[in-house]
Amino acid sequence: MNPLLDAPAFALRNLTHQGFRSLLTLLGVIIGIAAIVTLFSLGAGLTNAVNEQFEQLGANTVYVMPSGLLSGSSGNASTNVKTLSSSLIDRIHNLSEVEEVISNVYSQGTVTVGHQNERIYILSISPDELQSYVNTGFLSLREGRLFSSRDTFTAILGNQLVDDRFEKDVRLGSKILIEGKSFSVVGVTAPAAEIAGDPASVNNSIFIPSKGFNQLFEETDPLFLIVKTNAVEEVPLAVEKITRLLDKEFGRDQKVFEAVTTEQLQEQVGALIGVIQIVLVGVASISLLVGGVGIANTMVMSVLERTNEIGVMKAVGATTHIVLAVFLLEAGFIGALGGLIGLIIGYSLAFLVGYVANSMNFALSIYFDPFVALFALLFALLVGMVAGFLPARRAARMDPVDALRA
Amino acid sequence: MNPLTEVPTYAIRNLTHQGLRSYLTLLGVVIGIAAIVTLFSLGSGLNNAATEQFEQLGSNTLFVAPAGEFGSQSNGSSTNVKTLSESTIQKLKSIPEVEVVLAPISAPTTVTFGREKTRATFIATSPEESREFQSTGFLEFAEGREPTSRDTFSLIIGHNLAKKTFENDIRVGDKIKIEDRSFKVIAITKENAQSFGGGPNTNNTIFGSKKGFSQVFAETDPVFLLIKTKKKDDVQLVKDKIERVFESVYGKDQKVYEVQTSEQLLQQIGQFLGVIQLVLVGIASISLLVGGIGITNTMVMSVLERTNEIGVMKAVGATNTIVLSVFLMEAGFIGLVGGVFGVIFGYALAFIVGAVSMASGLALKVEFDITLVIGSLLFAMLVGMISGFLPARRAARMDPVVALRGIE
Repeated sequence: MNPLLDAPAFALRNLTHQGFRSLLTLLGVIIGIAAIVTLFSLGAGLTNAVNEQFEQLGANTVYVMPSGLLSGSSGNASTNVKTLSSSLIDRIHNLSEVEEVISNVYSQGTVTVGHQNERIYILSISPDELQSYVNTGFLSLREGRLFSSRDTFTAILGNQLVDDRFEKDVRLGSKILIEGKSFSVVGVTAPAAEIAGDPASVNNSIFIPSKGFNQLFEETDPLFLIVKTNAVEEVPLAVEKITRLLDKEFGRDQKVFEAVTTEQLQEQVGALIGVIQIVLVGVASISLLVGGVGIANTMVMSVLERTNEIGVMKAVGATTHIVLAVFLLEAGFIGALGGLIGLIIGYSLAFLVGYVANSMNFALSIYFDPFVALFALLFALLVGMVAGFLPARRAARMDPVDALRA
Repeated sequence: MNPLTEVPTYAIRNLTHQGLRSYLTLLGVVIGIAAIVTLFSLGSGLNNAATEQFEQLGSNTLFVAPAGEFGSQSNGSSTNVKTLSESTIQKLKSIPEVEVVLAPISAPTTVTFGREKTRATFIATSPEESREFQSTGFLEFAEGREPTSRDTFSLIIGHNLAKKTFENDIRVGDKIKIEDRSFKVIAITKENAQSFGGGPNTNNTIFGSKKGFSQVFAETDPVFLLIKTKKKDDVQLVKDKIERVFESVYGKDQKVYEVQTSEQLLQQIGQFLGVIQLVLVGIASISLLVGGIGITNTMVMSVLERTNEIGVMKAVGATNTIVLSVFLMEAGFIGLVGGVFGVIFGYALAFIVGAVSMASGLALKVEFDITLVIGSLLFAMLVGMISGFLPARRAARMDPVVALRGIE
């Protein structure tokens, strides 16, 4: 008798003989693992989507933004927010490593279409900046044209504004009022995936040329800059130089603006989503715990029912270790099998949710992650074995004489 | 034989005889219900805390802010906020039902103490406004004196800024720098817990005079107002009047400034928290589902083991309905008992988390909610009965002859 081969075979056979009971126990584990895998994948999908959007802008990008924006420590509405002056932007542009500076100026404005008034984010953009948005794939047009240097009172509208928000039919050539000034519509954006919580997404905003923007709003200094370096290798040096310029402007050790790389930004956003992910997966894990209790229950009954059999096994020479192994393997097998099915269902559900979310313009990139799969399987196996340990030990320690008599 | 009394007794006796199996089944339900109760209570606790902080400001308070700044996670990124001019504020003050208009001005700023720097929000008030904040309990001093009209470069420092931010604690009488201008600390606020979802809070705030503020910052017109009405019943009326004032200033159908009552603001926070609560409780419910499957499993076993017994019951005249109700009650009873323990554990956990959270500065007011208790118990019993239905029906439909012969 080879325990290494016989014990698993025996454990498997026992399980299949138990029928309905095993199926229900399995179901508990399946649901638990599926919930964990789904929620984990959705969280990862959100992170992926955010990363992809940053990557669209290229790894040679440096972002200048108010300090602490992502950690949520920024203040509320105030008129005394410091902005980036045009002379500072020029100095950043003049750095030898910097190829291009896209300044992100926007404001909420009142937009009038027919009799309808709406508050909408108005984004100021130069023709060049618009062109580089299009080149990087950050923005594309569904219809119409981009801005030329002659444009002033022209507008490119977000597709959702045209499709849903405005009651009146707005077409190319239509006139709309922004802050009381008439603009003619020259383009409509193509639907773009949206990052959760971004108020100024391209789908819901209006782009107007900087020249026009400056006539509507008084202060037009930006709070955000997208800085492109000549090469990816120059990014660290550019960050250093920009930080020095910011320090010079706002004082040493300033915490007003910071220059961050795509990587750092991705890290910060990832950390934020990671917290949500941990909470959700943590709560979902409770159901796996309950599933584990179910395994323990099944194993207790299994040991009780097979007292006689255990007696026979021991009588013909099975050691305590072999009996323990048989029952541990049985419990672990329930866990692993439940894990496998749960994994399949969990990923199917995640891909389904991802598909639905994407069709609703909500960015979510679900990928199959072999580490998650492997980990989920091992975890399920472990849960099964831990749950089965006490019943298995009870079986292993039985006195063969008592067990046979039972 | 009275089925109404005997059936439950019989069902309970069966359970207690099953020992470990029942306990483990119970455990599944206990964990599931405890998770639901804990998460639900914590969600409500956040909401309660936010409500309390708004109520401090009084239910006769109206909030005025730039449109779109309410509710949305504003990051102050719009540089083109229109300010409220002195004449607009005068018009609001002249509304007869208005008792007081508080027009604090604020700016994010850099604070220097010794060699260290940090970012904080500077709120400038007049002495009158400062007194009003004190009388509502929003602003409370732990030490120091009240500001007077003679104070210019004097500051009241939030508790966390004074005690937790810098290496050395700031004390009353110390000098700190705001944007390179020296100010004297005259008072430090009491610590108050931060409510989730952006309720008002003084921990990381600096209060100073408007005169001092105007020496440091360019723009001194406010963008945010607190308006108190004389009577609570006038809130809606005043809201309409304020909106009319804004329309006269910014044009009809303006969407520059918004007016909200504390009730509306609370509703928004409540909705936001409600969604989080729903998601968490929804996920926690999965564990109750798994617990329910455990009940089904136990009941299937129970029915199989007692095939003989079911045969006897039927032979001596028990109808299908009685057999069904015996097993249904047994399953429901597992659910109910699991629910009772789950509610106890759940609330214990919620109160512990609430206490820890309060101690670490996040306002969380866990309260015992009888509706939640009854709801959880009924839900647990329902889950038990639904889980037990199929096994119970199988038992009820057994042919007595086959059942009696069933287990030899």
